[in-house]
Amino acid sequence: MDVDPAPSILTSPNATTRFWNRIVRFFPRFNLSEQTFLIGLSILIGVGCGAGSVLFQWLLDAVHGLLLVDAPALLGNSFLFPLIPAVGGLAAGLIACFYAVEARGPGVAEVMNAIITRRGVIRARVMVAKAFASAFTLGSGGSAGSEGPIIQIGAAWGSTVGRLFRFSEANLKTLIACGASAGISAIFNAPIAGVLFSLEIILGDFTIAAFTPVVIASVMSAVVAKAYMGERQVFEVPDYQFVNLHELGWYVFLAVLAGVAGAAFIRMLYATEDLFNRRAYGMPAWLKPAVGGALVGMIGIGCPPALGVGYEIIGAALHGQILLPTLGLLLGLKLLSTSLTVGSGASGGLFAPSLFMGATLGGAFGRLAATWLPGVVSPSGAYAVVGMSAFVAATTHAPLTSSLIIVEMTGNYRLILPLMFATVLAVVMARVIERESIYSLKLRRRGLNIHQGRDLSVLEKLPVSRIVRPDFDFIREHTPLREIVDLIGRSNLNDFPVVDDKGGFKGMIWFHDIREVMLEYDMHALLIAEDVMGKPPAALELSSSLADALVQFSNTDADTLPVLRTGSPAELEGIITRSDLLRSYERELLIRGRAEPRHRAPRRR
Amino acid sequence: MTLMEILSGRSVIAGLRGRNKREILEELVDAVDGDKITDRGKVLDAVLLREEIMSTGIGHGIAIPHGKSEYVSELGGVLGIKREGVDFDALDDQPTFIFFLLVSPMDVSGPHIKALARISRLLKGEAFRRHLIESEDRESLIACVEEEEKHHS
Repeated sequence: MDVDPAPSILTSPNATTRFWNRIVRFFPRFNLSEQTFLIGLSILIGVGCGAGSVLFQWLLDAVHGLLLVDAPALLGNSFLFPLIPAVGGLAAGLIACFYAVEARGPGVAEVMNAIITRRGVIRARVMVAKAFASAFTLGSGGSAGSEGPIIQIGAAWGSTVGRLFRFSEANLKTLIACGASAGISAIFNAPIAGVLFSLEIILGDFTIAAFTPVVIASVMSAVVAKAYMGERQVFEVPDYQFVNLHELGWYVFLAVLAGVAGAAFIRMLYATEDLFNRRAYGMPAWLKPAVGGALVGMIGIGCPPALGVGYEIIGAALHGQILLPTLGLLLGLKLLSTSLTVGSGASGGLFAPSLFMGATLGGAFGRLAATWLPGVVSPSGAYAVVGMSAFVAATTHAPLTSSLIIVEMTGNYRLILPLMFATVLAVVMARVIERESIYSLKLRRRGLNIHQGRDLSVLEKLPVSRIVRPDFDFIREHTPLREIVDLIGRSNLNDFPVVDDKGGFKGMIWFHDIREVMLEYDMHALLIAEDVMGKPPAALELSSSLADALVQFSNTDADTLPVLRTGSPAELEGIITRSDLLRSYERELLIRGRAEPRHRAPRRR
Repeated sequence: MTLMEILSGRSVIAGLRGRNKREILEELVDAVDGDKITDRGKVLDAVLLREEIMSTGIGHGIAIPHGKSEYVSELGGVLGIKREGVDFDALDDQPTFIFFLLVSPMDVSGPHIKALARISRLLKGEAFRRHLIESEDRESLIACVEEEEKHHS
């Protein structure tokens, strides 16, 4: 058995790799299937994430203490305050630029990117980079959340462990989902939401095979976090109830508002990103978050609550303790400051800001409703709870996860009816304005056009000429069926172009069409190629894209398609096969993702 | 797909009059349902052309002439019997008695092939062939075909 040449994730000499390979190959002796092994590892990942989130929280508190408690005291003059978030942003920018570019931005989009285009590979250094970049961003007052980072760190942990044990690509993705769900579970004490988030947003599908390890990781992580941090309800809310059924109408109204607001936030976030990236003013990448931080700091001078993670404000809004004008102001400023922090490239999550904006929006609406709208008996805090769920869903396009996370975080189940309803409606509303979610839009803007997990944009840029075969078996139009059957037996293709005696293209013989008659011996003397050929619906040329070709293959269910000369549709340039197209797609992904070569699963004896 | 679906009332001929290949083919094309053809002359040309490339007299007294043309709007068939037999350049050099014409629109291969396959399968039966030749008129021909179709569902 040869030594697996896959590069080690540890930057160590070959001896270590060989030693580790021996250890990895030890496990198959127990005749464990990769699935069983996976479940075992999910425990490891869950525990690791639980511990990791505790560490991260500690790091965050330490930086926070340093930058937002000690430093302002030293500075004295409050006009110098913007320096603090600027310094935090600078640190984040430098880390992202020189250590790990994946650490930039929110994080969830990076995880999705790794799954879709990088075969589930997330570098180990991302864990460290993201932890520090986020701690500096958030600890210095940057307006973002700690959830996105913990998700990315958890995912990186899952991917690293998986690659350490040489798991296959599919299982690697499951391990990433384990890490992500464990992260959410620990940070929010929301194990169910953690599972749903991974399945709904990260993996994009709910298969039983993924479910078990993800649940295990989520639970283990919550257990570890609970051991260190005790029993926590992230938000204590009063026992709001859904009493007056007519209020459902007003909740619907709120849902519509949340949908619009969520879509507006997405647009504003990326408009800010454009501002920093495309009209860059020649600024180096590591400086941008510093500038963003400085701007946020200026907002902070006037309105400190708009900075940082903002859980206290959320809590207050949920208790209905904030007045209407303040709520409106906070909503607007949070929108601005989050866009600046994240849009400039600092490192932080979008979830906590979404909670903030949802709660302030809901609270403001609740106050307005209580004064002006009839039949409103619920306090504004109840609207704040529903508003949170609706707004988050409007940005993530994940109604299930959003509803459940809010219920888990607030411990309030009685509002579930208006909450679920409003959440789902908000997603519908948001999609009317902006089809992409806050995560998929980021990927879309990078040029990834995700269609059912396959990156169509890769295929759009490749021309048919890449895979065309100029030499191919063809059939003359008057060839009797008997000879055609012989040819099929000799060739390794299934479909053939039909040409006239001058070599001009006449049509295609598709195997699935003639399958029936092939075995009718009488037909062998009766039919000729011309009788049994068909025409492809649209002509492919050398310059057509592989994406167009893929569509043709799907429509005709053929294995082979003809490629015709531009402007001269009777002349054949060659043929393309479906398998060549898919192989080309895979190769391109490897090149673009700069991913490591395929890892083999541990072999059974 | 059954043969009766392709044939229509007029397109079953118990006594063909043509005395040679060309006349027979003309007669058959004339009998195709008017709804299915937009230009009989062009369709006849297509059938004749196809016949020239390779004879459709496959032996055992059977011929299955066919053609594809843009002047055919819908798959159509004609069944014709000539009790006296005609020289149709058959593979076994024997006279041909039973003719099944099939005309089809261009660029459509699936149904066309299926119909040809079904015709061939039905005509394999020697008893069926005898009954066809012995049929005196259109009605008994149709009855004969329907009877045989039931055995090949």
